Amino acid sequence: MGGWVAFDPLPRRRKGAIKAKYAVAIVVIIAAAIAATWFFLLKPPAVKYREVLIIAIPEEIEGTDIQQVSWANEFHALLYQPLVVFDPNMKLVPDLAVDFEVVDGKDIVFKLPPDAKFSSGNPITAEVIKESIERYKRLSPYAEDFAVVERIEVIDAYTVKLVNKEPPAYLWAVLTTVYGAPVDVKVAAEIGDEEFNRRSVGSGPYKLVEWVKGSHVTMEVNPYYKTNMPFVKNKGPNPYIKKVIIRFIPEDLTRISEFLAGRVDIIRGVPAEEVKRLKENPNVVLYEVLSPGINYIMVNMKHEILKDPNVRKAIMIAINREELAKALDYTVVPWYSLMSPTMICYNESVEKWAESVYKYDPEKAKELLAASGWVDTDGDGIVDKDGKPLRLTLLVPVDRPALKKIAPLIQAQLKAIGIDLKIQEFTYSIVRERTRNWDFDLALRLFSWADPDIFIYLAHSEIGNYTYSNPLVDKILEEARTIMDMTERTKAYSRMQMIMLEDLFMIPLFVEKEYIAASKSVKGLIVLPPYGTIILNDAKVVEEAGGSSPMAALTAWVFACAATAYVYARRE
Amino acid sequence: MPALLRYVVKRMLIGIPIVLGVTIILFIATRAIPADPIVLLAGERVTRERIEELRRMWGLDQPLYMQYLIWLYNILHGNMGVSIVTKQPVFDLIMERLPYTLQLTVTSLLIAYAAGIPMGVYAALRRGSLGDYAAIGFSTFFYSMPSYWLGLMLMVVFGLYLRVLPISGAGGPEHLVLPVLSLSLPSIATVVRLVRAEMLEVLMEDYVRTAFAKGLPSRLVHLRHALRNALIPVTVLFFLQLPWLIGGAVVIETVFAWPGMGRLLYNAIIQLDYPVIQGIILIIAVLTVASNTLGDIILAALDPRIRLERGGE
Repeated sequence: MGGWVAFDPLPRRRKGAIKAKYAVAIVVIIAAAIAATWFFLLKPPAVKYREVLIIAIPEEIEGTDIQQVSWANEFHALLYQPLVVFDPNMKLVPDLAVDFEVVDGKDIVFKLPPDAKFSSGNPITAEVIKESIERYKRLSPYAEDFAVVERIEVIDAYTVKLVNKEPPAYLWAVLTTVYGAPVDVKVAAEIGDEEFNRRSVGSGPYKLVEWVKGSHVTMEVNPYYKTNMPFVKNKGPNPYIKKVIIRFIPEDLTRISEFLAGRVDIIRGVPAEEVKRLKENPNVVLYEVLSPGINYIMVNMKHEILKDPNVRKAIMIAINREELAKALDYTVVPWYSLMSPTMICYNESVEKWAESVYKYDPEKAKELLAASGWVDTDGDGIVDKDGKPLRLTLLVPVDRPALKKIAPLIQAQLKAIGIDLKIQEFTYSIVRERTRNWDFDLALRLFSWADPDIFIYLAHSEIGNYTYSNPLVDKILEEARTIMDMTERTKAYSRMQMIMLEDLFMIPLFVEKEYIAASKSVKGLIVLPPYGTIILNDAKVVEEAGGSSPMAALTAWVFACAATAYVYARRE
Repeated sequence: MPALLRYVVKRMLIGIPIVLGVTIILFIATRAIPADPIVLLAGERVTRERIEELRRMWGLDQPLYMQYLIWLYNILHGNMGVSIVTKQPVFDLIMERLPYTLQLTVTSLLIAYAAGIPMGVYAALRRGSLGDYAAIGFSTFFYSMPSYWLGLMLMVVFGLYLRVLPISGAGGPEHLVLPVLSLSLPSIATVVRLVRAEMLEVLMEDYVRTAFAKGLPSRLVHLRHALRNALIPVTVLFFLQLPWLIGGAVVIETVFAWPGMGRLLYNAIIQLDYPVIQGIILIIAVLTVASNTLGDIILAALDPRIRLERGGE
């Protein structure tokens, strides 16, 4: 307390003027405080980059070996490197390969860079590519993908040739995904296939460090990574992001919460109802990619009532797709044809044509039904014929949120033209199984594959073996998979679509958008169509650090005041 | 043979047909789902021939009873099979996850009892008081809340808004807080109600009155005479609840992205991974029967009247 007594300025001031050295001291202190203020308040932000990037995805990986799994995700996309890829404009460009060309109209030659290595350090030679594809044909559930490849010739150490039975137009769709990427066959042979599925080795930008089941995988930058993708600046290992952690978080709300809390940088599987909120969030960048495929109603062509083309057409034009899109917050695009813009051989004019032919027109739909004898004679709102009402069942996959949500709308829209639709909900696998077994009337389904060759598994009368059979479509599907010329191939699939849209075995509804949300602090991210592949080559994570700090400036002033007071108090 | 030992052996023998019965029901139930794991696993690009081939490879073309017998034969030879999805041994998959689940469920159970017993005792001793109603009200409030929803709410409040606790995943002890709360809060009610009811009953007993009449201090009577006897059924409940909590953990583990067995089961059911579903249910069935048996045995040990009745002496 004594100090406070001494600090009573009034009586002391009378004793004399402040001595020069105290005045100097006070000036120095104040100058220091001003300097500190400048330093702390106006300091330019020091840019710091975080070395760890965290991605959260809904589903756990099934295994790490791309040649043994039945589906791939972000993890595989970072672990492996395809020979070629589609660039953001869906143009074919090299990735691992330096160059590629089609020879003799059917064989594909890949040139490899002489210094290419897996993350293990093992070299990637023509021989390795050959062995890798042979391993795929032996192990993968999709072994059929390479059925067209008759043999693989090693021309020299860095040149490999796929000799094909026929022009393999549809092979690009495989070669551009991670399924077509080489695996380190040498390591696979050493540790065995089962173990390799646990810790696989590829040549992608990151390598696997640890897989904690049910939780996450940790990846580290691959020092040997080298790409020839023309659309990225950095063709080597990412100098900023040294580590990538991919977390598996199945619950939507949990994943979104982790993201909003800033504990995860990128998420995939953004639920439709969150899209609007994330779009408005200034700290979030939302990437959207149109899905390579459509959501549609599959029709049982053998069904007594649905055999009638008028009934199928009536359903086609009784559906108000705009209303469906609105109900889904426009996370989908209304669609009238069978191929989406992110598919190979997409032809916009087919979509335009289909949209004009099959405009929403419930009145015309009623007329079509009436033309086939379906009229509401008893006034119950349901059309009938020979005393039987028009009742159909729609199989709805509960695990496909968009389809599940619009099912009641379709029910209401068909009710408006007098069709009584009953909804039955199952998981997608059961819907698929029942449609395969012809045990259904109508079913909500979807497909997602960039190459239109997927139609051979849906619409071909023997290979697909669904209820649809049209010899002309069979013929086009068989031919089109071998047409190497893109323009010609596009023509073929356009024709196929027009025939199928006449037959209406598939009634298109909409194209879904894939959303990937990233924090604003992730810079330089590229999201590639058609699957929304995350490319990290030029990416960095900016740390929120440095910059002005008012608290530090304030502290400097508090210190300055205290120091001044002290000097003043002891000025004798 | 001493009565207790005979009782123990008998209880354990009864467990075997129960486990077998569970596996048979389970086998029929999973196969009744009109879908096929192979079709489910294989996308649209897989041909029918390949699907048939894979089905043969996994023995799914065999009649159901043969599949069951093969599975049972393998189990008895210590082989739980291989996952259709990940192709890894089911036993390894489960053993990787089981510690996480036990960590979650046992902690939850301990916390539920640590909180529930004092609350129950307090409510019984102050029957009809405000504290009694508060204890019952508090526990019933959480009991009526679905643990799934409770988990999400806790997560949003403490993880997202207050940001004091991690939202999901496993890691340090702080990662346990929210999932453990979501599991234990609803089960506190069961404990509180049982302890309260038992205490009230015991307090009416003659020996309690005698103890009071002897002039013993009420604290001693409550703790040594009343509580000790009231805790016998509570102990049994503890063992009955353990498997029940593992079931609850399926949902909670999914919400909190906890790498436990429940999440493995959830994924396996979604993907119809028969060998994994069967393996996990077998483990849960064995755990259930074991903890029930253990509960019965402890009850018999604590309360001689039980084994005398059942032992027929």
